[in-house]
Amino acid sequence: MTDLDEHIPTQTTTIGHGDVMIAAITSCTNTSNPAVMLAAGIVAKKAVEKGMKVPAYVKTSLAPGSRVVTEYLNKTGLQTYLDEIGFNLVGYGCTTCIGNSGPLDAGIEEEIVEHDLIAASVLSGNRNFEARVHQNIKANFLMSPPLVVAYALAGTVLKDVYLYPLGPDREGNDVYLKDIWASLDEVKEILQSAFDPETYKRLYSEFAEQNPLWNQIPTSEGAVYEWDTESTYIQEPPYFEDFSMATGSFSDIKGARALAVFGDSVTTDHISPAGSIKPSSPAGVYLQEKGVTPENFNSYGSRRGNDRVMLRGTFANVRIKNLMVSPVEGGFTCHQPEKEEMSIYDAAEKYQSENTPTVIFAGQEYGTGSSRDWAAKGTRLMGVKAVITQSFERIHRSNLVGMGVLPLQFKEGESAQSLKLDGTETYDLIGLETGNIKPQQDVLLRINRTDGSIEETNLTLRIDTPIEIEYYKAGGILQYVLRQLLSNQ
Amino acid sequence: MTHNLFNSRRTFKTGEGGEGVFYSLPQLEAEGIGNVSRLPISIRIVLESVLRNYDGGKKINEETIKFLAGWGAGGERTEEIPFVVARVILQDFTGVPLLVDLAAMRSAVERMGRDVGVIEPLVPVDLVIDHSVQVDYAGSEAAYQRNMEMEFLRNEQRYRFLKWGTQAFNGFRVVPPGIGIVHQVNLEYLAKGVFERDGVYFPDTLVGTDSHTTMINGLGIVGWGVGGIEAEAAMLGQPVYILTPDVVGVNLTGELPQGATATDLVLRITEMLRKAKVVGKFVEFYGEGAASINATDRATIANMAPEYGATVGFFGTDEKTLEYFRSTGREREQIETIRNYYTAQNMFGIPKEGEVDYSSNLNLDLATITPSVAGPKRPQDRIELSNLDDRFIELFSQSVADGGYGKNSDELEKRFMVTMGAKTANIAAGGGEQSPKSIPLPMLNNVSEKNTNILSEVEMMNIARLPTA
Repeated sequence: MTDLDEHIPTQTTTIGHGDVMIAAITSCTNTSNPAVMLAAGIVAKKAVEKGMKVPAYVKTSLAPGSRVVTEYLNKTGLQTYLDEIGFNLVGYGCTTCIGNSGPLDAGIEEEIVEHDLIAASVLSGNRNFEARVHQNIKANFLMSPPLVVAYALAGTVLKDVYLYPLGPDREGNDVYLKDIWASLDEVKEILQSAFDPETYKRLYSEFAEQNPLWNQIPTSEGAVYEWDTESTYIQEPPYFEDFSMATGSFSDIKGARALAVFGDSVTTDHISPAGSIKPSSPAGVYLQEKGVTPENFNSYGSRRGNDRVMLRGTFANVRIKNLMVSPVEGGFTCHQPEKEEMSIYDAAEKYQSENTPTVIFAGQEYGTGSSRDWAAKGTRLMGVKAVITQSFERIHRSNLVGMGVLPLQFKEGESAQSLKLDGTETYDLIGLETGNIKPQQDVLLRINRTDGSIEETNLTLRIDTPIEIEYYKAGGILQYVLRQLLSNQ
Repeated sequence: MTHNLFNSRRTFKTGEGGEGVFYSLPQLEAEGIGNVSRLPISIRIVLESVLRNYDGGKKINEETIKFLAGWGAGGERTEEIPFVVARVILQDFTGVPLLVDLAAMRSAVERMGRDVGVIEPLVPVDLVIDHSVQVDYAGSEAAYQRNMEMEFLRNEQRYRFLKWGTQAFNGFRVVPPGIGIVHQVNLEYLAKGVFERDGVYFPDTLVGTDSHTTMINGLGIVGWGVGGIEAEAAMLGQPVYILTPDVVGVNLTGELPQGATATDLVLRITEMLRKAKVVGKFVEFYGEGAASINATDRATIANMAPEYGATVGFFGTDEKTLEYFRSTGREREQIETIRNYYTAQNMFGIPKEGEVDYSSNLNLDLATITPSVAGPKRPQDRIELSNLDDRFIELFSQSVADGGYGKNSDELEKRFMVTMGAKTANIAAGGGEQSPKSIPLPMLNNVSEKNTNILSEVEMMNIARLPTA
């Protein structure tokens, strides 16, 4: 591989609030649209012809969504100009748009952190939630590719680009946005260059053979995968360990403990984080036991093929708030009845070894956020039998059923708070024993408090359709389908 | 199963000139099943799937077909629709666990001593590896090659497994790294417009394990992002269940003015539709403005459906769609098949004002689109280009509780000296890492201890703090 620690010449500059630290032409939203990509190229061309420069602190990048873009930017000669001002090709993939923006210069990052600078990024992506683009960049602006080039040149968002020059040309004269903007006609003139059927045919035929790095990867063959028990990325999940052809059934849940009591708006990212793995977290500890050092942890997202990591990551988000251990933040709970504080993962393991069923309580909109299979899979593997909330996000609810976990909903006006649940109680879920479970029927929640008092209330079973009843009885959708495929055979 | 419910099994002329079987929606109307020709096009495409996949009641019964054919613009939405899609697309982050589960099913079947071949994807699956490349290097000619080398070092275990998958299953295709982003590859290559299986033709539809799967609706193809478990179900031939949607019609008029781009248009649409509360609904664009913009602009608009909150942002199939298929190298016969199929279904062309009944209607004059940006924290917060500096200054000193940065306004102008290139950069988590070799050497001793979740922790927290749904 290439020399990675080559010498980079040092240079001194100043940075401040509102400076553009990342300017990225990225994301399928725009890179699939030749009109705006060519416009970016035209803006770059005009800027280069005037001798304009991008400030050194701006990290510029171009990551198109396909190689077709490179073809037409080369054919029109515009890539040269983009290269000239730093918009070199960095790869064909999601990159900055999903947070894979890579590192900033360490000196810059230090200054940003030390002075709490409100630094900016400009990108042609579709999302800009704080810290998504880069963890130390707080102001992220979505815009068209030609505007990304313009703001890279300006180096700041603290400038009205209609009234003030973007920067000087090579003679020191002011250059305004209108001087380098790409008109609709200019774009139309070269638009056809982006639509050459033969180019698309060529680039999309035999693409598997076109990447030598891919070809070099050794493959194992055969219809059944030879699981490598040493792999920390790919492991055989235990869903089918006790698989049998017999259909299961519903049953009441008795003497359950609360694994956690959450408030409102617990997202799938709280339930199953996708980002970095903390060394002291259960997943971090596990990986270190497997000989993986923290700098090689990678992210949860990339370890989704290993259920051992993902199980330990469930409810391990550093920002999740379990009211049972409030004000502590993070994936902790209080194991009952000993009232012992520990990680949610450890508590789940302990309850499972004691054969104590567990439930989760939460408020409104449980499971919002991007759909994430591990939010439901992790809940299942933790041994959670039911999730009881004020409301569910649609997909997460159906995923819970798909993984054989009961979603239950408080009646309007009731909540864990109104029932004064603090997690010290035990719970029974009654009404599931009958052979005739119906979607959205009532289920009785019996609360057995530590003072010996008992309270009862009705919940709504959020198994919403007849087929979901079948999925649940089978132990989940995977088991349901496997059983079907085998019985059709 | 082959059926001829409501005499809907008909034939049309394919692009090759032969006869193709299809399940006719106009025939449903002729049989008095519903006022199909007034339905939004996106609903008709779902209806076709429901009709064609009728199985005598196991998953889809006659009532479901009649119910959806009778979709009323203002009906109450309590019924779930079983939607069997034509194909599934995956990206590598979410696709790996899917393949792991398939592999685990095979292992389980092997342990039972049964034929492992029974475990196959029942609809075609395409996995595009696009989420793992990181911008470790930028601004130089070597950046592309170096980033890719890093990517392969970091992800070898996963890539090895994915490569096994390509040879183990018939219907599981992998687009290797370095080719493109799944949604763009979908537009330029994977999308077929119309599918054929066992002589029966039907609209291309899909689900994908990435929220921006919606982009394909710009080409008249209904599809959206689902969780891994639903994608798995779809892959195994199970329906994806969706609550019967409201369909918001957006009537586009006029033309984009000079200086405005498709990006400006989609940011305006995102702002407008967020306010209109389209969460959980279909959005369908129609009218002269919708018909006048080309397929790539439509795709840009369809892409951001998750940002405006809609399940899909749909444009019907028309000449512009076919022009895109043609100019991206699709075969002439296939393009003719698409035209003939949609014509036979009375669905060719973007509806004009008044032709279709939507749950509600919105209007947008393209001539009013101005250059804009969106941010600094949410895609729906559009800012006129001329106001960006003012907005930043305003947020700078606004309290954190009100969504600002809570700084003293007199700090705004301060600048700080920095020496670049003197220190080694912090590595960031993200795409992947396996071999110590994959970390640029100077970075090894300077690991960031920050535990900020790069992908989306704060994204979710922002949603939690500022309910917009």
